[in-house]
Amino acid sequence: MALVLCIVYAIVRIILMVVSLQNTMGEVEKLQTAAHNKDLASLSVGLGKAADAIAMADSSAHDPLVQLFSFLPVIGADIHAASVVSSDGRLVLQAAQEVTSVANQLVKAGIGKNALSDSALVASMRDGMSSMDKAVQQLNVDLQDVDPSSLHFGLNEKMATAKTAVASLANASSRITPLVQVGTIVLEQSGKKRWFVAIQNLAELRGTGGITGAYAIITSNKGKLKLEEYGSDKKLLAMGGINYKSYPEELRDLWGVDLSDWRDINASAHAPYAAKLLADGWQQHRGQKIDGVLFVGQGVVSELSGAVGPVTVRGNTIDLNNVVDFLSKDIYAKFTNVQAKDAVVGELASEMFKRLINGKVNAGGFLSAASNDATGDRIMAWATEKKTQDKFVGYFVAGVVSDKFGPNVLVSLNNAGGNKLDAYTTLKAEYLLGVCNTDTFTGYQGRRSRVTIDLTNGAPKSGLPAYVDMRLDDSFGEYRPKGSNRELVTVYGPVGSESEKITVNGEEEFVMTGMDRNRPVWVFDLQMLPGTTKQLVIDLVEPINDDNLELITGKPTLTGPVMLNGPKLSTASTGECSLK
Amino acid sequence: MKKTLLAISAIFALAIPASAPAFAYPAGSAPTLGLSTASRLVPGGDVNVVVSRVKKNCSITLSWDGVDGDTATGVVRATGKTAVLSISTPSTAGVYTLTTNEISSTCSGGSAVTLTKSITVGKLASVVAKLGTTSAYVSKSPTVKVSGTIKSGSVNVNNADITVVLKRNGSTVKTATGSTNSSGAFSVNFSGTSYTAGTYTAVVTLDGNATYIEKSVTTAALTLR
Repeated sequence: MALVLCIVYAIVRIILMVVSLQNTMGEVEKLQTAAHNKDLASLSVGLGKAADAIAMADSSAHDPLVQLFSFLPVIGADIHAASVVSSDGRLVLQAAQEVTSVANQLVKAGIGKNALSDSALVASMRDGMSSMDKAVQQLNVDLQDVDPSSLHFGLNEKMATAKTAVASLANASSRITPLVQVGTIVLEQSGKKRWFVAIQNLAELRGTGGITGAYAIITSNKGKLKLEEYGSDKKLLAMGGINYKSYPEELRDLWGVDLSDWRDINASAHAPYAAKLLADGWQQHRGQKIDGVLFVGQGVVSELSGAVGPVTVRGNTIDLNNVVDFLSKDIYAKFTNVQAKDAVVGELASEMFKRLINGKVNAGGFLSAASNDATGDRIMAWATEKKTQDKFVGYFVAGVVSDKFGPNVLVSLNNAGGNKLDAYTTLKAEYLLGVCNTDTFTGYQGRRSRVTIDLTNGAPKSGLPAYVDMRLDDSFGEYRPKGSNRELVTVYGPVGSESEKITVNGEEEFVMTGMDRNRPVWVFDLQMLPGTTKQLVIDLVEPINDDNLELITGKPTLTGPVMLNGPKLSTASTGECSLK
Repeated sequence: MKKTLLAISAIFALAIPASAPAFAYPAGSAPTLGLSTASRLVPGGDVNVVVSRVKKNCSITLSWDGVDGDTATGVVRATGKTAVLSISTPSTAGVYTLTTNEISSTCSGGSAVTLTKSITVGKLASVVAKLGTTSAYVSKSPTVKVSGTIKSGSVNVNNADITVVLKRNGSTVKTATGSTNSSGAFSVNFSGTSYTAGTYTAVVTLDGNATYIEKSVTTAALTLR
């Protein structure tokens, strides 16, 4: 009898879960109207209703008896899928409601245009977005484990659609959230602060993204923004060289760059180095203190383009769909005169900043641009004030290369040809943690690991404008047809690791070596003919214990270069090692 | 006049970087010293080096800075690179600087440069040491003991020489030597010494040898009354 009651109870709970999920979907559909009407207040109320509905589904999903049913054949997969959607979806909807509610208040307060009366609001916006991003990413990861083909009752199609939609939302969220985090930190500053925005051109790669092709000086004052100045790299170069005495001495020769040259200061992937040089250079030549530096590339610009809408410059309409290609490829073909090209970029940037600062933004366009962004761009921010910098670091938007122990590897690229061919550069990389029971020469118990990088120069052999495929580096008699490039590939190994073998296309390679941020660094100098791929392999021995003899745990992480074509990254591990 | 001079000085100070710029844009224009592997090197082993981005027919000589050891010489080819230059590492483990001769501005294409690279030869070990005493009172003529273990990764460092310097308030009181056993353990007693009240520490140094790099640690403080 008790068993029958239990089964009946579980069935009732399952039905409740399904009905609640249907109610949730009904509420979510209504949200589209509110979103279309840009009615943030209605959107927030609707999200609240959807969150309430899904909370009921979540409650049923967490019932131990319902959980037991997820192990049943046939319907078990359906219950598991509904459970994932209920649990993760509830967190997403709750966070979304918080975000829209705060956004509504910020819009009413005239964010960006008027002085902020309540800086806590922007902090709430940041926290809400951060929570929502976490929830969306978790939902995306959990949904990957759900196989739509194993579902029934029409759920298979809905789940397949949901997976695609959530993956797109996760991509958008991962791009929008850092922008909100940085933007709100800039807005909440007390007193007048001056920000140097380095507009990087990812068609010519550097450690932090790309060459600083243009810049903007923006001031923030209690939430009010003002564009003070905009210029191209020519204007920076005309000011003269940077006194780079603040730059770590041991790194000055690693990439063979001239650190006094504004175009070369960001060879290291550690953004604070370059940010400090930009701030120093501005102070030295203009006598103005820079309080912070923001690095943005074409990916971030595409998000902003979506937010501000189409801009027409000299007969060219630039919108979220064409801005990346326009700024990295088309502009060089259409404006062969460099001065005219720089002027076009300047006019486009000025109009976009003007619209942003005047609050003429479209959230739908912003979201659409972010979900379709296929670049490997990411915003990085730095501040002179420790408290602000700590916030940037805490939200992982500071572009800081970690100097802590752990199985993490970072790859960056520097264009050494002085051209714009990185619009055609692609990269695939894998970091594999291998066998245990070996020691490092650096005095740790260790394991073997391998980093494999496939670098491809996909440039065509002909047809590119001269400005795009020129070679400014010395040839030393080398064969370099049109479309050929030269790349410096930098691999940052885990702290305490060491290389056993380094090869390119299976042949022993000679690389520049150094230490950056307590990590061994290997710099490959590669000539890349058009249409070719080179495979770089580093066999490592890396520590499994730290200086306190504690076991290093955690999954391997691989951070790819900031680049125009998003890198394809993967990690794998043979399992955890244990200390002897 | 003073103001004018100050202004001119300021302009020059801004115009001249910390050290003169070696090479212009783009990245990677300067001569480089490339290594096939820069880690897991043993004393007396070989390091393979290629010097790149130097003008044809220029001569490159490699040596260890401050060490009377091996040298290697090569001539730059038309590719801007030397052939593989092989140089033996010093016979004692340690951190050394591999250096080239000065590459003239004619050869480098920019400023004259001397390429250097810090290279670790041998293994690092971790030293754990503590300071003990038979009595905390100097009046009882205590024996002060320094003990600990030395390991490199999972390996106990066996039969390695150590030097222990006993210090009072930062000044050396006495020095002793010892060695590790097969468990990597060591123990050194300071007996027959008249102690003065104060705060004592010991600096334990694993002496550099053909396998391990010199390493020192300071123990926690011990107070004798």
